[in-house]
Amino acid sequence: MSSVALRSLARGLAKTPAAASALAQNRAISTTTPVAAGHDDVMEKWPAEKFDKHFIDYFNRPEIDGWEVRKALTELHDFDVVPDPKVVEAALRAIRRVNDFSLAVRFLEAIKIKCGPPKAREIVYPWIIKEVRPLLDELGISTPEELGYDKPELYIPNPEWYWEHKWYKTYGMDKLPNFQI
Amino acid sequence: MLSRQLALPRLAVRSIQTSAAANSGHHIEHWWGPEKAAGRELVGFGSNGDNTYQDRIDYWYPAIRFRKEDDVSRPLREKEKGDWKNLSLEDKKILYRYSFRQTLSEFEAPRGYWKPITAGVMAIISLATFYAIFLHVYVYPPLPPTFQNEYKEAVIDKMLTLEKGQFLGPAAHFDYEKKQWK
Repeated sequence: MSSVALRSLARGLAKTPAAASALAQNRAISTTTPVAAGHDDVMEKWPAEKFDKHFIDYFNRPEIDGWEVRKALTELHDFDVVPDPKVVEAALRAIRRVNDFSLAVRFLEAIKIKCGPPKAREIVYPWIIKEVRPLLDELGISTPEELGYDKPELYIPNPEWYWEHKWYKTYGMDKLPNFQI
Repeated sequence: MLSRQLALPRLAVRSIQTSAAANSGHHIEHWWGPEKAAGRELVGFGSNGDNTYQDRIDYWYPAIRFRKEDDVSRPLREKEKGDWKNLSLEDKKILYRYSFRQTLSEFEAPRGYWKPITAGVMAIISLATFYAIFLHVYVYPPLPPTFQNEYKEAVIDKMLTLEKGQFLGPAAHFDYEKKQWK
């Protein structure tokens, strides 16, 4: 809350010094609670170039490690945004640098998620893959389609919902007397 | 306690707490994250920083790998550090399955649980229906005669004769001149 107040105060100061003091007095008492405090929408309002540059710069840091790559990917996943091919390329290069192949495939799946409904996914996702195809070939990354992951490969039952006794044997799960590491 | 506060005022200051503890309700002895992770590599933050594996559509990158490193994955991890073009398709799939439990298409696939759920709901509804029928037939006394049609018609006849219900009852719909319903 205070950061929002400070930011608007700073904006007011930048405009006119005269209006700033009045603004400061008005903002001193806040009678409403900000919606979604702590989750500001500052980056949502950035222009697309600035938004992309923010992530590309982060991915291009030479000292980036695997934890930070996942952090950046998670934050990118948080926005209502289909990543630009340039951002995808920067992310894939960062993933290559931290030597985590599975994360690259996972990220390509995340693009599918962000594309939204199936119709948009059919149009947007192949276009992004087409744009980054040279990089995929250069790094040797396989798309989920090439790995056969566009169709379900395994069925994963949920034991809390439904479980047949014979499935213990099917899935190679021995019943243990207690929790064992 | 009060005497101690009076005798040792400096200690008394310490015994009065005006603010709640910052981590109230969260005690480290209840945190089983590392035990649950059970040796799996911690690779990220996940959804809340806990060392648990979750497949979530909003936090698509779990905090830990799905499987522990073993003799299958260790040589592949070494191979992964080199050129990825040298990885075969099988290697890539194994690497994926060691890091993640489900692919996106598996996550989104219908799991078929609507069938046992529907079966359960239908079973409960049918049992309740049979129980109601059982009660109706064997337990409850027969319905009183006021529920029979003859009795209801007799009541209306009586109301017409007594000219009751001129405004809202049956008499309002009966033409007494022509002796028939309006």
